[in-house]
Order: sequence, then structure tokens, then C-alpha cells
Amino acid sequence: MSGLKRASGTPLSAMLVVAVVIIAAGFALSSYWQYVGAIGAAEAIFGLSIGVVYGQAGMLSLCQPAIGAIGAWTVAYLSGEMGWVPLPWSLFIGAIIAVPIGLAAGMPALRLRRVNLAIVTLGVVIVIYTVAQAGQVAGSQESAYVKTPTWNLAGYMGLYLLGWLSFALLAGLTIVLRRSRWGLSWLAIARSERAAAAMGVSVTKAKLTAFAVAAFVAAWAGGLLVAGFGSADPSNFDPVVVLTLFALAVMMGAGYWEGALALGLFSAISSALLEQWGLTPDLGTALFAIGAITVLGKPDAAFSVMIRRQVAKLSSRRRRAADDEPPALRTFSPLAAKVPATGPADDPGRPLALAISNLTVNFGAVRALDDVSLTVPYGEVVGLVGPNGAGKSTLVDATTGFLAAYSGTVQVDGAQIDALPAYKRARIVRRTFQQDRTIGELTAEGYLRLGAAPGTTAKQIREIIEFVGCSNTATPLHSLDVRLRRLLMIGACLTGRPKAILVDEPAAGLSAEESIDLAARLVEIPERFGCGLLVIEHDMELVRLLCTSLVVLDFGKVIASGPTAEVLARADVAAAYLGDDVAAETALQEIAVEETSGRNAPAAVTSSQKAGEPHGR
Amino acid sequence: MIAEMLAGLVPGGVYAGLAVCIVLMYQMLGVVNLALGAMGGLAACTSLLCVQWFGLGAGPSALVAVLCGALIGVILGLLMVRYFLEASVELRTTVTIAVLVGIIAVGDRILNGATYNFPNLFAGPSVEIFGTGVPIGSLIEVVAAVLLAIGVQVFLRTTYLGAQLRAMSERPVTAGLLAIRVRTLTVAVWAFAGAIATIAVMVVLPTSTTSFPPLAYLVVYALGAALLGLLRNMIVAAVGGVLIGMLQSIVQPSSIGRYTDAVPFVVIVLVMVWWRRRDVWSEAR
Repeated sequence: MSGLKRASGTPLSAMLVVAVVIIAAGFALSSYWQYVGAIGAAEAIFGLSIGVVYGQAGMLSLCQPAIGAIGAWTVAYLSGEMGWVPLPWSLFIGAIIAVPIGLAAGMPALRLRRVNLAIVTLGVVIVIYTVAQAGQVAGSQESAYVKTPTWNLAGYMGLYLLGWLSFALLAGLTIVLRRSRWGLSWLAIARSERAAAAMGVSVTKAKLTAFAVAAFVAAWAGGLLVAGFGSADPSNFDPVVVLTLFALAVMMGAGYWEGALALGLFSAISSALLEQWGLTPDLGTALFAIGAITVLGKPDAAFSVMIRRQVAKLSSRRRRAADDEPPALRTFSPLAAKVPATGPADDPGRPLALAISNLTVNFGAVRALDDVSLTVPYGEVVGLVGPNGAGKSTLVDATTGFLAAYSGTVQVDGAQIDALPAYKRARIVRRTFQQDRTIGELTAEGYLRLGAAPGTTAKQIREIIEFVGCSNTATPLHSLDVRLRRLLMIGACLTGRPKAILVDEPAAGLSAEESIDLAARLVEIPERFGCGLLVIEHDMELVRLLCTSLVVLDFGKVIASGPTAEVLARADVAAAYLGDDVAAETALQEIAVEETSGRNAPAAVTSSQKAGEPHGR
Repeated sequence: MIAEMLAGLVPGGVYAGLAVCIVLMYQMLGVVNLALGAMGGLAACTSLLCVQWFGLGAGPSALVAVLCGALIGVILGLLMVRYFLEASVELRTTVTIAVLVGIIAVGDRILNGATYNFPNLFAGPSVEIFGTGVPIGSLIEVVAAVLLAIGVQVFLRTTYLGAQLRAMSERPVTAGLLAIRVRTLTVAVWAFAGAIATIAVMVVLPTSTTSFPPLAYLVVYALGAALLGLLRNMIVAAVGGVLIGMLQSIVQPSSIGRYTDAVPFVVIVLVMVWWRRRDVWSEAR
């Protein structure tokens, strides 16, 4: 999928220069080339529609250009057969009519993905082609003839202008959408559907809006083809034509407007040249196939991606001097931290941030969680520990709505949320993932904006970016280090202003100093953002520094809970980590030795925890 | 109704054969080969040329065609191992789109709208089933497709080479480290699929000879059948292929006959969405 990657945007000046050049070129061209250019504009618009669904939302759907048939039939019917709707209007109406069709074509994408979706959408291509050939739909007959618009301009300049103004308009639409919540949610589902839902994005809505927008755009292009060819010729929607457009879109990187533009120009000009040289179009197709395979064989060799990389290289060279140093890592003194068990003293009547009661989860015959109850008061950091496979992440999944079924109840701020889907739960309870699931193409600002609660101001987002210690706000996340990406994942939780946050192994893969820095930031969250924090962690040092109380899970059951120091001192907790009685005894001895030497007990758990790892199931 | 269903065995057998190859390639090589029908079609065209130009008999021509299909498979297989050994499934699949488009261009050039007559390889007697004559060739085709599915699955599960192929499909790089010859095996699977696809397409050749794309599009229904087998189960894919052929045959004479090509996909989409209704998330965790 690398061929269709996307970035934040292009300078407006570059777009204006391109627009002026194309329009000016139209006046210099012969009538024949004006016509070729207009068809190229239509193909470029098809590229935009593929760019939305595949390039931005990452769905391997092959059917977008075929949906253009809806626009073609509408234009042929309204402006041709009926003859009473002037052309730009029938284009618009066709695009609107295509939206529900696009939604219907997008429905399978809610459950089918990747190559499965490719096959099913290829089926959609066949269905539309069959309908086109049957000639029963209004506007699909050859008799529905549309006169090419001239608007008193010489040659095909009217058609040329209509085509390229349409492209400018629709490319503008996709650029604006890319920066909107819709566009951000498309990128989010392309990265990870679970992570998107965890940020409050409705995956269903994101997928369907992508299909709807793509249908609108494709139908416009289909209508333009009719304006050029005169009628809705089924051959325009032949599966080979549709698939060729798709492969071209991948080649050119149609996720960006300049990729779509290149697609249109390349496709139209190459076929016109072959025609002028007296060569049959199949030779052009064969040449295209060779070109496509060559481009696909090189990673990120798509036209638009190469352009963007060059531009980025130039601008980074200019900017490098101004780059500021990353902020220093924070240090953390346990004495400066909150003393455990201050509790929700400020308001005893206030409900708990998070209350899980009698949570039981079965995966087939395996009981992953068995009657688990835990609470996270406002203003506190509660730790959830346990060996690998104890059910910690399953608890996070159940709490945040990612499991199909569980028994028990989850309450956030006193409200029961068991009936809510994941993206709605995200309004009050947020989570992070063990793996990095940030969206590499976005900047920190864009990423945090995606997860933000309605009404979040730019200033608030900047403050959170500052809070997590990210100074590099203009760089796409994929060029930041793992630590910053993890912190931004937590930052994205904060912008949602939830009542409770569940952080799943935030320190995995961080160095000791980085873990301390993380702890220093995490410990501030409950007070500063008015929520409760549940931290899952294997790093016992971090747990000891951070958590006021602790819950220990083993084989899906709570085996201990209470104030951190007390729980960590318990023998059965050590045994659960070590998984073997002898080892537990050793640990106990260590604890005893360390207690006499005046050190904290949990350190023993930390040092022996690594030995206990193989116990993980 | 029964007569139509039995008539559907002809295309059904073709879809079944291609579907088995699609599942095999997806499982072994991680590619959904949209160009499979085109590969078979192009090779089958050579048999037409052998008959037309060199006056070869049907049998030898068919043999040349199968060899040609394997050769096309070898060429494409070499292309894939050279450039796309570590590419994603999606990217490889997109490459087969380009291959499909390219082969259609070549195939169109070869057939060029002229009508070729191909002696029916399976012109044997018909068998009477429920009062309907069914050509023995299509019965053979259906049985062969199902046997192929079973045979390939048994082969993969019980033989050493099968184990190597499965290792390659799971982890190509690790398999390579275990001295499994990934490149050779990849090319071999492509060659095998090319040969089988050629046989499958040749069965329907006598009825469609003037235009190339319909041969290439046969793959679309085979893809649908493979999808019914969740791109995993070859036997279900083969049976699915036969059922799709029958469905088309039933729809053909009905009032929605002109939408025959579309109907199977409506059914496939509904079935797939129902089967996959619990796949709410893209990733397991």
C-alpha cells in the first residue's frame, strides 16, 4: 500500500501555479488536445476517488471508477434524454445520486477487508458493468445523447474548462476533507481500526463517509465522460478499464491530488499519442502494464510520494537550523510524589472514576477473567499487575468496549456503559495500546485533534503536546522516536477529557531514564486532568513510584489488592510472578534481607520478575 | 430447473478448477491472482493457433497449450520472486491487476476479433441424468476440480514437499533460512497454476473464441468461489465454483436473465458478510 501514502498538505502557491498553467495551456492547445485534456481531467477525478478510499482510508476497494456509471447515466438522462437540466447541474445531481449507491457498495467493507474486500468490490464492478450492458437503466442507452458544452468558446475549450475546474473543485474538496475530522478518521482506520475506535472514531462512519465521498467524486467524473463522449458508453466501465485506473492510481499515488493529476494526464496523453502514431490502444495498455509492474516493484516509487519526498527534503534543509532541541527528560523523586492512599478525600460523595464489578470473560473454554472487580477513584493512579497472560489486556478490552461479550458491569463516573460501543465509551474512558498505534502520517497536532473531545481548543491541544514533552509539532509522527509516540498516544487520551484512562504497558521498550520521565508525567495526570488512571505495567519500579494502590491478577483472578507497598510485600504476589514455590521462597528471603537493610520491598519483586517471565502462558 | 442446473456444470467446473488454483496461490504465495483466467486464456489461445496455423490435432494442441500455460506461470513466477518476494499481499495482488491488463492486451492482439474453431476435446457422448443429456466432459471437469482440491490438500498435509510449501507460505524468510528453496517453489506453484488454469479455460474454448476478455473474466467467478472457501478451503472453493455455475445457469432463462453475470456476486456478498459478521475489527487485538 506504500504507493498511496499521504501527508499533511501542499503549499497553496504550488496548487495555484499548477491551476494557472493548466488553464492557460488549454487556450494554447488545438481542439483535439483540448478534448484529450478534458478526458484526462475526468480520469484524474477518478484517481481522486480511488485516493480517498484506498489512499486515505486504506480500504482495498476496486470499484470506485465503476460507481462513476451512476453519474454517467444521470447526466445522459437529465441533460441528454430529458434535455432540460444544464450540464454542471446534472453533474452535481448525478454525484448526489451516487452517494447512496456508494454507501451500499461500502457496506461489505464493514466486515470484509484487504483481499476479501478486493474480490467483493471486483464483484461490484461486474454488477455495474452488467447493468450498463443491459441498457435498462434510464440514461444508459445510446439514444440518450448529450451535446458537448461549448459556452461560446472555440473548439473543446468549454469541455476542457469544465473538466479541469471540476478537478480543481473536487481536489480542493478532498484536501479540505483530509484536514477535517472525516479525513483524520480515514487515516485512523487505515492505521488501526481498534486504535481509531479507542480515540472515539466510529469505524463504521469513517468507512461509509469515505465510500460516500468517493462515490460523489467518481460519479462527477463519470458524468464528465458523458459530456465528452456524448453518451454513457458501457465500455467506459469495462472491468479492464476500471482495474487499469486502479493500478494507475497506485502507480501515481492518487492519495495525493498531484498523483491523481498525474494519472489523468498520463492516461489521456499516452492513449492520444498512441492513436496519433497509428498504434492500437492495446499496445499502450501493454506498455502501461510493464510500467506499473516496474513502479510497484520499487517501494514508495509512486509519483506523488517521490515528489513529496523531494519537497520535504528541500524544506527540511531550509528548516534544520531552526530545529530546537528536544526537552530534557524529567526526573522523578518518589518522595516528591503523592504519598499513597490520600484517597478521594476531597469529595467523599463523588462516584468512582472507574468501577469494574464481577467482570467475567470467556474465550471458548478458557476463562480469561473470572469475577474481577476493581475500582479507580478520581485523582488516583491504580496499578494493575500480573504475569503475562493473566488477563490484564483482556480487562482493558472489556472495559473499553472491544470484546463482543462479557458478564459483569463497568461503570465510569457512576454511569453504566456496558451497552455502549467502543467509540462511544471513548467519550468517558480512554485506553492506550501496548503496540505503537499512532498514525505515522499525522503531525502531533493532527493526531491529538483526532482524539479531541468536541470544543477542544487549539491552545488546549498545544498544552497537552507540551505536557507530554513533544516539541516537534510539525514532523509526521513516523519520524519521531518510540518514546514520544507512546507519550502522544497518552496525550491523545487526554484530549478526549475522559473520566478514566487505562494505560497498557506504557514503559515497554523504554530505557530506565525514559521510564522515570514517563512516571513523572503520568503521576500528574489524575490531578491535572481530573480523572482516574489505571496503569498496567511489568516494570515494578515504575509501579512502585506511580501507583497509590495495586491490583494483582493471576489466571484471570484478582489475587491481591490494596495499597501498593502492602500488596508488593505479599508472598503470594511474588509467587504469582515467579510461578514456583521455591522461587517464591527465595524472593521472600530477598525481601527479608532488603527490609532489614532498609530498602523498599518491591525492588525484590522487580529483580525477580524477569526470572519469572517464562511463567507467562 | 434440473436441466439448467446440470447445464451449469460446464462453467461451474471451470470456476471450480480456477478457484482451487486461486486458493492454492493465496495460501502458498500470499497473492490473489486476478490474472489467473487471463494466463489460462492466453495459453489456450496458443492451442487455437496450433490448430489453425500448424494443423495440429486437438490433443497435441492442448498439450502445447498446457505447456505454454506452465511457461507463462514460470515467467510470472520469476517476476514475482525477483521484485515482489517481500511485498505485501495487497501489493502483489495489485501487480496481478497490471499483469491481467497486459495479458488482455496481448490476447486481444492475438485473437483480433477473428473467429477460431477449436475441436472440442471433450466431445464425448452425453450422459443422461434426470432426463437431461450432460456432456461427459463437463462431468469430468467437475470431478477433476474436486479431486484436484482434495489431492492438493492431502499433498500439502502429508508430503515433505507439502510441508515445505506450508512453511514457505507461513514465513517465507524463515523458510528460506531453513534451506527451503523459496524461489524455486514459488515459480513451481505459478507454473502449476498456469497449467491448471489453461486446462480449465480450454474446456469452455469451443463456445467463446472471438474475444479475449471473457476468458480473462472467468476468473472473477472463480474468485467469488475462492472467497466462499474463505480463501482457505479448496474443497469449499471447488464446490462453490460449481454452485455459482449452476446459479448462473438457472438465472439465465429467467426474467432477470440479462443480469446473469451480476447475480452470483449479490449472493456471494450476502453470504460473505453473514459469515464474517463477527469480524468487527481489523486486527485480533
